[in-house]
Amino acid sequence: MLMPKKVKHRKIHRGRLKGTAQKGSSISFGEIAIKALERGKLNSRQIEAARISITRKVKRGGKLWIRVFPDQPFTKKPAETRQGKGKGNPEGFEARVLPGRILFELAGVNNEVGIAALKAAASKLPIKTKVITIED
Amino acid sequence: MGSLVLKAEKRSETGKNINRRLRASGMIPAVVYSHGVGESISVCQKEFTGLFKGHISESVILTLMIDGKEQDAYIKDYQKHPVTDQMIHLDFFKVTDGEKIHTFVALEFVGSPAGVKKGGVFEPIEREIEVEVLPRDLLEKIVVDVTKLEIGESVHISDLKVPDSMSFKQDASHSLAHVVTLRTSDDEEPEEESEVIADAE
Repeated sequence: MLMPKKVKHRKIHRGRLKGTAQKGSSISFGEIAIKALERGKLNSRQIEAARISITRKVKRGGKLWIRVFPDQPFTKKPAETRQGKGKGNPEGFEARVLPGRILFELAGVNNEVGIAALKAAASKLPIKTKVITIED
Repeated sequence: MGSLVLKAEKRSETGKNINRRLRASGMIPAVVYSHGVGESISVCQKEFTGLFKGHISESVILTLMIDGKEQDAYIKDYQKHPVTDQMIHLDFFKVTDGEKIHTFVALEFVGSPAGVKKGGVFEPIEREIEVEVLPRDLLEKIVVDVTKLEIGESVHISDLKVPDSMSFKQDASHSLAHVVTLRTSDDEEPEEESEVIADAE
Protein backbone atom coordinates (compact mmCIF):
# COMPACT_ATOMS: atom_id res chain seq x y z
CA MET A 1 0.00 0.00 0.00
CA LEU A 2 1.07 3.56 -0.65
CA MET A 3 2.19 5.53 2.38
CA PRO A 4 4.83 8.12 3.29
CA LYS A 5 8.24 6.88 4.45
CA LYS A 6 8.14 9.30 7.37
CA VAL A 7 5.80 12.05 8.54
CA LYS A 8 6.50 15.40 10.17
CA HIS A 9 3.35 15.35 12.32
CA ARG A 10 1.54 12.19 13.42
CA LYS A 11 -1.86 13.87 13.67
CA ILE A 12 -3.16 16.79 11.63
CA HIS A 13 -6.31 18.90 11.56
CA ARG A 14 -9.03 17.70 9.20
CA GLY A 15 -9.54 21.04 7.45
CA ARG A 16 -11.91 21.64 4.54
CA LEU A 17 -11.61 20.86 0.86
CA LYS A 18 -12.45 23.86 -1.28
CA GLY A 19 -12.30 24.73 -4.97
CA THR A 20 -11.31 22.60 -7.92
CA ALA A 21 -8.05 20.92 -8.90
CA GLN A 22 -5.67 23.44 -10.45
CA LYS A 23 -2.85 21.02 -11.14
CA GLY A 24 -3.01 17.35 -12.07
CA SER A 25 -6.27 17.91 -13.94
CA SER A 26 -5.20 16.73 -17.39
CA ILE A 27 -3.81 13.46 -18.75
CA SER A 28 -0.01 13.65 -18.63
CA PHE A 29 1.35 10.13 -19.16
CA GLY A 30 -1.26 7.63 -20.32
CA GLU A 31 -4.12 7.45 -22.79
CA ILE A 32 -7.12 6.72 -20.56
CA ALA A 33 -7.70 8.11 -17.08
CA ILE A 34 -10.05 8.36 -14.13
CA LYS A 35 -11.03 11.93 -13.26
CA ALA A 36 -12.61 12.91 -9.93
CA LEU A 37 -15.91 14.77 -10.18
CA GLU A 38 -16.30 15.30 -6.45
CA ARG A 39 -14.05 16.35 -3.60
CA GLY A 40 -13.14 13.74 -1.04
CA LYS A 41 -10.51 11.69 0.69
CA LEU A 42 -9.12 8.46 -0.75
CA ASN A 43 -7.37 6.28 1.77
CA SER A 44 -4.48 4.04 0.85
CA ARG A 45 -6.67 0.92 0.99
CA GLN A 46 -9.10 2.34 -1.55
CA ILE A 47 -6.26 3.38 -3.87
CA GLU A 48 -4.74 -0.10 -3.54
CA ALA A 49 -8.11 -1.78 -4.19
CA ALA A 50 -8.53 0.28 -7.35
CA ARG A 51 -4.97 -0.54 -8.48
CA ILE A 52 -5.51 -4.29 -7.98
CA SER A 53 -8.80 -4.08 -9.84
CA ILE A 54 -7.07 -2.47 -12.84
CA THR A 55 -4.16 -4.98 -12.90
CA ARG A 56 -6.59 -7.89 -12.76
CA LYS A 57 -8.74 -6.56 -15.61
CA VAL A 58 -5.80 -5.61 -17.82
CA LYS A 59 -4.08 -8.98 -17.10
CA ARG A 60 -0.98 -8.46 -19.23
CA GLY A 61 0.69 -5.44 -20.73
CA GLY A 62 -0.33 -1.87 -20.15
CA LYS A 63 1.26 0.69 -17.90
CA LEU A 64 -0.43 2.31 -14.94
CA TRP A 65 0.23 5.64 -13.26
CA ILE A 66 -1.26 6.51 -9.88
CA ARG A 67 -1.51 10.31 -9.82
CA VAL A 68 -2.52 10.71 -6.17
CA PHE A 69 -0.51 9.83 -3.07
CA PRO A 70 -1.97 9.25 0.39
CA ASP A 71 0.28 11.57 2.38
CA GLN A 72 -2.18 12.91 4.98
CA PRO A 73 -2.55 10.89 8.20
CA PHE A 74 -6.04 10.32 9.60
CA THR A 75 -7.05 9.21 13.07
CA LYS A 76 -9.84 7.15 14.56
CA LYS A 77 -11.11 6.73 18.10
CA PRO A 78 -11.47 3.15 19.38
CA ALA A 79 -14.96 1.60 19.36
CA GLU A 80 -17.22 2.17 22.38
CA THR A 81 -15.21 5.16 23.59
CA ARG A 82 -16.78 8.25 25.11
CA GLN A 83 -16.16 11.62 23.46
CA GLY A 84 -13.21 13.68 24.69
CA LYS A 85 -9.92 12.45 26.11
CA GLY A 86 -7.99 13.76 23.16
CA LYS A 87 -7.67 12.99 19.50
CA GLY A 88 -7.80 9.37 18.33
CA ASN A 89 -4.94 7.19 17.19
CA PRO A 90 -3.39 7.37 13.71
CA GLU A 91 -5.29 4.89 11.56
CA GLY A 92 -3.82 5.31 8.10
CA PHE A 93 -3.12 7.74 5.31
CA GLU A 94 -5.36 9.42 2.81
CA ALA A 95 -5.07 11.54 -0.31
CA ARG A 96 -7.20 14.66 -0.48
CA VAL A 97 -8.82 15.01 -3.86
CA LEU A 98 -10.51 18.01 -5.45
CA PRO A 99 -12.94 17.86 -8.40
CA GLY A 100 -11.13 17.58 -11.73
CA ARG A 101 -8.12 15.69 -10.34
CA ILE A 102 -6.76 12.82 -12.43
CA LEU A 103 -6.49 9.74 -10.19
CA PHE A 104 -5.21 6.94 -12.42
CA GLU A 105 -3.80 6.86 -15.94
CA LEU A 106 -3.43 3.82 -18.15
CA ALA A 107 -1.56 3.26 -21.42
CA GLY A 108 -0.60 0.37 -23.68
CA VAL A 109 -3.99 -1.38 -23.71
CA ASN A 110 -6.82 -1.06 -26.19
CA ASN A 111 -9.50 1.45 -25.29
CA GLU A 112 -12.21 -1.14 -24.66
CA VAL A 113 -10.18 -3.11 -22.09
CA GLY A 114 -8.76 0.06 -20.57
CA ILE A 115 -12.14 1.73 -20.06
CA ALA A 116 -13.59 -1.47 -18.54
CA ALA A 117 -10.60 -1.71 -16.16
CA LEU A 118 -10.87 1.91 -15.07
CA LYS A 119 -14.63 1.65 -14.57
CA ALA A 120 -14.06 -1.37 -12.33
CA ALA A 121 -11.48 0.61 -10.40
CA ALA A 122 -13.79 3.63 -10.12
CA SER A 123 -16.34 1.47 -8.32
CA LYS A 124 -13.78 0.93 -5.51
CA LEU A 125 -13.53 4.66 -4.85
CA PRO A 126 -15.73 6.67 -2.49
CA ILE A 127 -16.28 9.60 -4.87
CA LYS A 128 -17.99 10.16 -8.22
CA THR A 129 -15.59 9.87 -11.11
CA LYS A 130 -15.58 9.66 -14.89
CA VAL A 131 -13.34 7.84 -17.33
CA ILE A 132 -11.75 10.10 -19.91
CA THR A 133 -9.49 9.44 -22.89
CA ILE A 134 -6.77 11.57 -24.42
CA GLU A 135 -9.03 12.33 -27.41
CA ASP A 136 -11.58 14.04 -25.14
CA MET B 1 -4.16 32.09 -44.97
CA GLY B 2 -6.18 30.10 -42.47
CA SER B 3 -8.82 27.77 -43.85
CA LEU B 4 -10.81 28.04 -40.63
CA VAL B 5 -12.73 31.22 -40.04
CA LEU B 6 -13.83 32.29 -36.59
CA LYS B 7 -15.97 35.33 -35.90
CA ALA B 8 -14.93 37.47 -32.96
CA GLU B 9 -16.13 40.64 -31.30
CA LYS B 10 -14.10 43.28 -29.56
CA ARG B 11 -14.81 43.60 -25.88
CA SER B 12 -14.11 46.72 -23.92
CA GLU B 13 -15.02 45.52 -20.45
CA THR B 14 -12.76 43.15 -18.55
CA GLY B 15 -12.85 41.51 -15.15
CA LYS B 16 -14.15 38.31 -13.64
CA ASN B 17 -17.79 39.33 -13.24
CA ILE B 18 -18.13 40.61 -16.79
CA ASN B 19 -16.41 37.48 -18.12
CA ARG B 20 -18.59 35.19 -16.01
CA ARG B 21 -21.69 36.78 -17.55
CA LEU B 22 -20.08 36.52 -20.98
CA ARG B 23 -19.52 32.77 -20.54
CA ALA B 24 -23.10 32.33 -19.34
CA SER B 25 -24.29 33.97 -22.58
CA GLY B 26 -22.40 31.38 -24.68
CA MET B 27 -19.25 33.37 -25.46
CA ILE B 28 -15.60 32.72 -24.60
CA PRO B 29 -13.45 35.63 -23.43
CA ALA B 30 -10.25 35.76 -25.42
CA VAL B 31 -7.27 37.93 -26.17
CA VAL B 32 -5.36 38.41 -29.42
CA TYR B 33 -1.82 39.75 -29.27
CA SER B 34 1.56 40.02 -30.91
CA HIS B 35 4.79 41.77 -29.93
CA GLY B 36 3.36 43.02 -26.66
CA VAL B 37 0.28 44.70 -28.17
CA GLY B 38 -3.03 43.01 -27.57
CA GLU B 39 -6.76 43.50 -27.55
CA SER B 40 -9.59 41.79 -25.73
CA ILE B 41 -12.09 39.91 -27.84
CA SER B 42 -14.79 37.29 -27.38
CA VAL B 43 -15.69 34.32 -29.60
CA CYS B 44 -18.80 32.18 -29.79
CA GLN B 45 -18.46 28.98 -27.72
CA LYS B 46 -20.59 26.91 -30.11
CA GLU B 47 -18.74 28.09 -33.21
CA PHE B 48 -15.36 27.43 -31.58
CA THR B 49 -16.15 23.88 -30.42
CA GLY B 50 -17.58 23.18 -33.89
CA LEU B 51 -14.25 24.15 -35.47
CA PHE B 52 -12.06 22.03 -33.23
CA LYS B 53 -14.44 19.19 -32.28
CA GLY B 54 -13.10 18.68 -28.79
CA HIS B 55 -9.38 18.52 -29.46
CA ILE B 56 -7.81 21.96 -29.65
CA SER B 57 -4.80 22.26 -31.91
CA GLU B 58 -2.18 24.92 -31.35
CA SER B 59 -0.75 24.35 -34.81
CA VAL B 60 -3.66 25.50 -36.97
CA ILE B 61 -3.71 28.98 -38.41
CA LEU B 62 -7.20 30.38 -38.46
CA THR B 63 -8.67 33.61 -39.70
CA LEU B 64 -10.21 35.74 -36.98
CA MET B 65 -12.95 38.07 -38.21
CA ILE B 66 -12.74 40.76 -35.54
CA ASP B 67 -15.73 43.03 -36.20
CA GLY B 68 -15.43 42.30 -39.95
CA LYS B 69 -11.63 42.80 -40.09
CA GLU B 70 -9.55 39.71 -40.98
CA GLN B 71 -6.55 38.68 -38.90
CA ASP B 72 -4.57 35.43 -39.14
CA ALA B 73 -3.81 33.94 -35.78
CA TYR B 74 -3.17 30.67 -34.00
CA ILE B 75 -4.10 29.48 -30.54
CA LYS B 76 -1.20 30.21 -28.23
CA ASP B 77 -2.85 29.01 -25.03
CA TYR B 78 -6.20 27.97 -23.64
CA GLN B 79 -7.80 27.37 -20.26
CA LYS B 80 -10.44 24.72 -19.65
CA HIS B 81 -12.58 24.11 -16.58
CA PRO B 82 -11.07 21.06 -14.84
CA VAL B 83 -14.43 19.37 -14.24
CA THR B 84 -16.85 20.52 -16.91
CA ASP B 85 -14.23 20.95 -19.67
CA GLN B 86 -15.89 24.24 -20.59
CA MET B 87 -13.54 26.64 -22.33
CA ILE B 88 -12.70 29.49 -19.95
CA HIS B 89 -10.28 31.64 -21.93
CA LEU B 90 -8.36 31.65 -25.21
CA ASP B 91 -5.10 33.32 -26.21
CA PHE B 92 -4.63 33.99 -29.93
CA PHE B 93 -1.27 35.04 -31.35
CA LYS B 94 -1.27 37.21 -34.49
CA VAL B 95 0.64 35.76 -37.44
CA THR B 96 3.00 38.05 -39.33
CA ASP B 97 4.04 36.90 -42.81
CA GLY B 98 7.71 35.89 -43.03
CA GLU B 99 8.12 35.78 -39.27
CA LYS B 100 8.71 32.42 -37.62
CA ILE B 101 6.25 31.31 -34.99
CA HIS B 102 6.81 29.19 -31.90
CA THR B 103 4.14 26.62 -31.28
CA PHE B 104 3.42 22.99 -30.44
CA VAL B 105 2.63 20.45 -33.17
CA ALA B 106 0.86 17.19 -32.34
CA LEU B 107 2.60 13.87 -33.07
CA GLU B 108 0.58 11.05 -34.57
CA PHE B 109 2.13 7.60 -34.24
CA VAL B 110 0.89 5.26 -36.96
CA GLY B 111 1.28 1.51 -37.29
CA SER B 112 1.70 -1.29 -34.80
CA PRO B 113 5.34 -1.56 -33.64
CA ALA B 114 7.11 -4.90 -34.30
CA GLY B 115 8.21 -5.00 -30.64
CA VAL B 116 4.59 -4.98 -29.42
CA LYS B 117 3.97 -8.31 -31.19
CA LYS B 118 6.93 -9.71 -29.22
CA GLY B 119 5.45 -8.68 -25.88
CA GLY B 120 6.66 -5.10 -25.53
CA VAL B 121 4.54 -2.07 -24.75
CA PHE B 122 4.60 0.98 -26.98
CA GLU B 123 4.99 4.10 -24.90
CA PRO B 124 4.80 7.60 -26.40
CA ILE B 125 7.11 9.96 -24.50
CA GLU B 126 5.93 13.13 -26.23
CA ARG B 127 2.49 13.74 -27.71
CA GLU B 128 3.36 17.14 -29.11
CA ILE B 129 6.59 18.87 -29.92
CA GLU B 130 7.72 22.49 -29.69
CA VAL B 131 8.71 23.91 -33.06
CA GLU B 132 9.81 27.14 -34.67
CA VAL B 133 8.43 27.43 -38.19
CA LEU B 134 7.33 29.82 -40.90
CA PRO B 135 3.51 30.12 -40.91
CA ARG B 136 3.21 28.74 -44.47
CA ASP B 137 5.09 25.53 -43.47
CA LEU B 138 3.14 24.88 -40.28
CA LEU B 139 1.79 21.33 -40.11
CA GLU B 140 -1.36 20.41 -38.20
CA LYS B 141 0.32 17.20 -37.07
CA ILE B 142 3.51 15.27 -37.70
CA VAL B 143 2.92 11.64 -38.69
CA VAL B 144 5.51 9.20 -37.30
CA ASP B 145 5.67 5.63 -38.63
CA VAL B 146 6.54 3.25 -35.78
CA THR B 147 5.97 -0.12 -37.49
CA LYS B 148 9.69 -1.07 -37.48
CA LEU B 149 10.22 -0.28 -33.81
CA GLU B 150 11.60 -3.27 -31.87
CA ILE B 151 11.75 -3.76 -28.09
CA GLY B 152 14.23 -1.29 -26.60
CA GLU B 153 14.25 0.95 -29.67
CA SER B 154 13.07 4.57 -29.80
CA VAL B 155 12.01 7.17 -32.34
CA HIS B 156 14.01 10.38 -32.14
CA ILE B 157 13.45 13.92 -33.37
CA SER B 158 16.09 13.28 -36.06
CA ASP B 159 13.79 10.60 -37.56
CA LEU B 160 11.01 13.10 -38.33
CA LYS B 161 10.32 14.18 -41.88
CA VAL B 162 9.42 17.87 -41.76
CA PRO B 163 9.80 21.00 -43.96
CA ASP B 164 13.28 22.62 -43.97
CA SER B 165 12.08 25.80 -42.29
CA MET B 166 10.86 23.84 -39.26
CA SER B 167 13.31 23.62 -36.38
CA PHE B 168 12.87 21.98 -33.01
CA LYS B 169 13.57 23.43 -29.59
CA GLN B 170 14.88 20.10 -28.29
CA ASP B 171 17.94 18.08 -29.33
CA ALA B 172 17.79 15.87 -32.42
CA SER B 173 18.57 12.90 -30.17
CA HIS B 174 15.50 13.49 -27.97
CA SER B 175 13.26 10.39 -27.83
CA LEU B 176 9.62 10.74 -28.85
CA ALA B 177 8.42 7.19 -28.24
CA HIS B 178 9.82 3.78 -27.40
CA VAL B 179 8.87 0.15 -26.99
CA VAL B 180 9.60 -1.15 -23.50
CA THR B 181 9.24 -4.41 -21.65
CA LEU B 182 7.20 -4.23 -18.51
CA ARG B 183 7.98 -5.74 -15.16
CA THR B 184 5.18 -8.24 -14.47
CA SER B 185 3.09 -6.70 -11.71
CA ASP B 186 1.47 -9.20 -9.40
CA ASP B 187 -1.29 -8.47 -6.95
CA GLU B 188 0.58 -7.98 -3.75
CA GLU B 189 -1.32 -8.79 -0.61
CA PRO B 190 -1.87 -5.73 1.57
CA GLU B 191 0.61 -5.63 4.41
CA GLU B 192 -0.33 -5.64 8.05
CA GLU B 193 -1.62 -2.10 8.50
CA SER B 194 -0.77 -1.40 12.13
CA GLU B 195 2.84 -2.34 11.48
CA VAL B 196 3.00 -0.07 8.42
CA ILE B 197 1.57 2.93 10.25
CA ALA B 198 3.97 2.40 13.16
CA ASP B 199 6.88 2.48 10.68
CA ALA B 200 5.74 5.78 9.20
CA GLU B 201 5.60 7.39 12.57
